[in-house]
Amino acid sequence: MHELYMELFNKLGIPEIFGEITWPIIPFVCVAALLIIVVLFLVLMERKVLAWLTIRKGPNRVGPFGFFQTIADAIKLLIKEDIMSKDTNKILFTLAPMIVFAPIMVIYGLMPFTEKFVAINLAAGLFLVFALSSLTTVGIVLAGWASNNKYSLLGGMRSAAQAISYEIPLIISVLSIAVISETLNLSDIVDAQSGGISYNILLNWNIFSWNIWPAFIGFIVFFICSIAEVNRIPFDLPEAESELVSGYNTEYSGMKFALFFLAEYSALFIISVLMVTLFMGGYLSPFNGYLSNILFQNIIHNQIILNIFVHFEQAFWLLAKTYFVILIIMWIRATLPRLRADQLMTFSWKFLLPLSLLNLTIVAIVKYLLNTGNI
Amino acid sequence: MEYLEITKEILVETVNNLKNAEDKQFNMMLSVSGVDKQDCFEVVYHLFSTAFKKNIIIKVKLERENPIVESLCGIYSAANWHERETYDLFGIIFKDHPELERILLPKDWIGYPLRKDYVLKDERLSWNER
Amino acid sequence: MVLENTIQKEMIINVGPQHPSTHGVLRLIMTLEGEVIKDTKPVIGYLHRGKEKLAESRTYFQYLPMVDRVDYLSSFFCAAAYCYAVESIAGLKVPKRAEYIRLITMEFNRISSHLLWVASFLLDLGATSPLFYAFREREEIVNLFEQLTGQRMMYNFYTFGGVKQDFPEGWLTKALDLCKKMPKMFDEYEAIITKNPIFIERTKNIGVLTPELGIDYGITGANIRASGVNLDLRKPCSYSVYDEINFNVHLAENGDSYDRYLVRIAEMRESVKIIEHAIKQIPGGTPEKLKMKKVNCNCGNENCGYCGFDSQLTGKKANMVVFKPPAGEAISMVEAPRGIISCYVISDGTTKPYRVKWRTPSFSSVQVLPELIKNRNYSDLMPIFGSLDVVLPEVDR
Repeated sequence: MHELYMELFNKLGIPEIFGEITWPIIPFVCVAALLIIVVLFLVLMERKVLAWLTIRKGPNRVGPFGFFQTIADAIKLLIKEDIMSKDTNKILFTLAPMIVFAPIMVIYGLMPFTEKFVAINLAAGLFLVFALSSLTTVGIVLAGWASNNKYSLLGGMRSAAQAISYEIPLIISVLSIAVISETLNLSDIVDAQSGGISYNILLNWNIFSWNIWPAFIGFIVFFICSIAEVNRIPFDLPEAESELVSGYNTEYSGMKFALFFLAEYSALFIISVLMVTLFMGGYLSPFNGYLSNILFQNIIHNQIILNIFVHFEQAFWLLAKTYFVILIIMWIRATLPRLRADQLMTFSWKFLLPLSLLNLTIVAIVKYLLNTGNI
Repeated sequence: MEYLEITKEILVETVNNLKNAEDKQFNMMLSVSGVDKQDCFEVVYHLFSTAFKKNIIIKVKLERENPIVESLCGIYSAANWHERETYDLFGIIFKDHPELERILLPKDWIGYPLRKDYVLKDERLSWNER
Repeated sequence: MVLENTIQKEMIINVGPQHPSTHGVLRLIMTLEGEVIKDTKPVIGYLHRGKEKLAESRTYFQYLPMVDRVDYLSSFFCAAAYCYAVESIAGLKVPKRAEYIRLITMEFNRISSHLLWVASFLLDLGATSPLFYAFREREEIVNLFEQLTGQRMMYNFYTFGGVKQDFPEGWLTKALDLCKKMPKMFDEYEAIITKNPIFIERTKNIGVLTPELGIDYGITGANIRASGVNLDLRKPCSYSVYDEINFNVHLAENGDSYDRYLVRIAEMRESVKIIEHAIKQIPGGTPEKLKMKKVNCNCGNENCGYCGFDSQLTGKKANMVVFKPPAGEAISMVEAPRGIISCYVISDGTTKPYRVKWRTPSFSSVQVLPELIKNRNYSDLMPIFGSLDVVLPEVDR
């Protein structure tokens, strides 16, 4: 890719130095564009899915199937007046949405969307993802405090309590993945899930070597905790609209609110991508090898073009799995009522934490036996 | 429907008896209503017995100048708000009421609107009287 | 707020008057310690429209459309309470057919009111979809009412001595069809709500209303029946023709939010049965049949099943302008969806009522709220307040 890019500069007659400078920026531009597109689509998807689940039509006026509804909403939010009440802490009030949004944007750069499309490929990627995702809570607490609104304050407090109690089972369940894959690099974790469990036909499909099978309990824990992590029903206590009006973002309007909104949906997407990456084989196809390899092998003999096909297929598999997970999360939102704050804590400490520890133990024992060759 | 017209002195005693007597058991207070009878005020208590499914109406006459009557909050908790409402709209004062203040109308409202001699000061509000 | 101590434990929070889950404009001044409610002071009166004062400057008939607005979710019950009170002062007899029409419409109204309660209660708890499912059924009931009365909410259908119109053609068939469909629809939400572990956890043993406390505060209706007090004015019957219909009064034992939900669901199922039964034995039968028989009958007999008194819509027609009930007073009590609505009317022999007093059930329900939510988590406000089924216009009148 790098060579192709440089060749482009050579052909246009621009000094190569510009190419060298712009090359590292490209992944970030792509990530930012991806984030915006994903959120625009997710909002529409959420509204449509909820509408179908609750016997309504959903947005259907702006564009075909209401496709431009979110764009209209975004424009509305952008041109809205930015209201700040008198006694707010102006600096922190402005800073809070950014603190919420920025870490999530960085996480986008860490994710292996395809084999090559990783903006920052770190050895300790998994570690950094969780380190960054905890930062958003700081922003939410800050927003609650700086708003000088009691509902916001309660929302911020709840968010902090929720984050502390749910991040522990979340990380312990992820620990089991690290044990299985013996790495913290996200791309390597995906690669470790390929190959199936045997060389026999059908059994060599990737689907059988996904981490979801050895760490199934961990997957359940991770799924529940990730819903809590992105503050959605049944764990949407920080912004429970029937109790706290709108929680930590009660006082926000215009672009600052839009940032919260953006952060919320991009967090939903990224946590689903993470779930798919860790447990469901990431960008790998569920079969043995890629479909485009199998289908086009005899038609296209150019290996580069075939690789591009494979590339797109990897993105397709990742997005398909991710949207499947998101669909389930939305389905849950339409079905369940909200938990109470103390029930939430009880559920986390008394149920999820022991479960995640049990999962870790099982995985560790299995791994040990496999490594020593006793099975 | 039973009617009982009593003087205000024996109100508390009568209601206590009605509530506690084995064969009456009027244990629920449905409402307290004030009535402006031009020459006097009347406070009407509706009691209900859940055991016998019976109603009783107790009427107490009060003089117009100084309408004071004993509060029944000690006997029925429900009396609290009902008496406040009657105070709010009629200006009948209930003695020993824990928090006798306006409930439906704003705190700075002048006058007691359900009295027959009440005149709305604001012309815009009294359109239907013309 | 002035910071007096360096460590301030309590926080005063002002819930409402504009708050997503106060069902209108209730204001609660709450003292919280952390998230635990220490003290609550309800402030009402934001919707006070002076219904009692308005009655004194209008004739009996002019006031009739206004009573629908006392409680906009169960307008038929308010109208019925007022009509029964005026009828007993004026000594007007209501024909049986009119009573049956009143009964059928009232029971449908009870279902629609309870459905809206289910919707808003679950919405308060954070579940969004039951709202739309409940509104789907409510829509069908409201459509029936629209065909019957021309209105979707404020029906203005009852009049002194009967009702204003007979059923339109085919209405009873549609009503029966709906009755057949309805229990299946109730099953649908029971499937999603009743056994939902989160719902049970949120509502079981929350907001327990003991029978003593409920009676002391004058709580009526489904709220007190959930505490195990058998208080339903329909049985033993004190108004209308409920004594001719077989039905059960549903009670629960614990008096918590979950029981209040169960009682209301059971009541809806019971109401469906009442309607089916009433349609079967309405005097005169369907309106089409009655019209034909009336033309051919002409017997002039008072007790005739088709042209006699009991198959009329109104008894003695009262003149709208000069309707003057004799001096006197009457109280009527009606078992509305939220409890006992009672209307106390005093007449002085003129065309205008001397005094009208409304006793509304939600008034008591709001009064008991501070007792129920004391020392509970702030999140419990919604399952408790929501389960009491408070309609604010009814509180303030």
